[in-house]
Amino acid sequence: MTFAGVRALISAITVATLTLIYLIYAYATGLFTSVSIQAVAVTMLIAGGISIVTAILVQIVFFIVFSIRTTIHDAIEQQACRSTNSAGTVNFRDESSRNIARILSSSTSEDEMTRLVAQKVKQVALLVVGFGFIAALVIFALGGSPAVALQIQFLSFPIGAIAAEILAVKYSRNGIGHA
Amino acid sequence: MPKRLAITNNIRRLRFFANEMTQLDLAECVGCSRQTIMALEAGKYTPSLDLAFRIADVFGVSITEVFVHESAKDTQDT
Repeated sequence: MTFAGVRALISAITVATLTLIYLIYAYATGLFTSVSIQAVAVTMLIAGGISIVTAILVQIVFFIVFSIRTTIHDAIEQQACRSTNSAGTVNFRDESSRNIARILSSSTSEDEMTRLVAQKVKQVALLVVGFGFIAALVIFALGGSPAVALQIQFLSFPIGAIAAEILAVKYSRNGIGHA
Repeated sequence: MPKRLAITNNIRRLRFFANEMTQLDLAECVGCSRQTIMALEAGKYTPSLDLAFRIADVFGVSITEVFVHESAKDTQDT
C-alpha cells in the first residue's frame, strides 16, 4: 500500500479508537441520558481537543516510523550494491542519504492525485455530517432528549472522518479517475 | 451515456528506453509523487492533461505515444 493509503488507514483506526473510548466514557457517565447540556458540551469539547492532539501525535509517530522503514530498506539495497561494487568507486553513504531524502520527499509531497482523492473523500465526510445533523434534528423534533440529539450530531464528525479515510484507502488501492 | 474509454499507457516501456529511468526520477521530472507514477503505470489513475503533457515532454514524444485509448488502439490494429 502507498504512503497515503497507510496514513489514511492509521488515521481511520485512530479516530475509530478515540470514538470508541468516548462512547464507552459517555455511556458509563450517563451522558446520553443527562439533562445537563452544559456537562455534555464540556465533555465534547474536552474529547474533541484530546482527539485532535492524539491524531497529530499519531501522525508524527507514523512519519518517524516510515522514515526509519525507508532508511532500513535503503540500507539493505545499498548493502546488496556494495557487494557487487568491490572496486569502491561509489560513495554509498552520500548516495544513500540523498536517496532517502528523495524517497521521503516524493512520498509525502502533495500532487494532483492526492488532491483529487482528498476532494472526493471530503464530499463523503460532509454528507455523513449532514445526515448526522438531520438525524439530530429529527430526534429533537420527535421529542427526544437534547443530549442524545447532541451526541448524534457530535458522533457524525468522527464517523464522517472514518468513512472518508476508508474511502481514501480504497482509492489508493483501486485507483481513481477524473471522470 | 457514452461508454467510458479505457486509457492505457506506455510509461513503463518509455522509461525502459530512457536509460532505465526510475519511477522516482520521472516523478521528480514531472513534479508529482512516485505513488502517482506507480498508479499510472498500473492503470489505476488517469492523469490530468497537464501531467500527461509533462510526461510526454520528459520522454520527448507526443502525448498519443504515451497514452492510448481503446478506440485509437483498435484503429492502429486494423
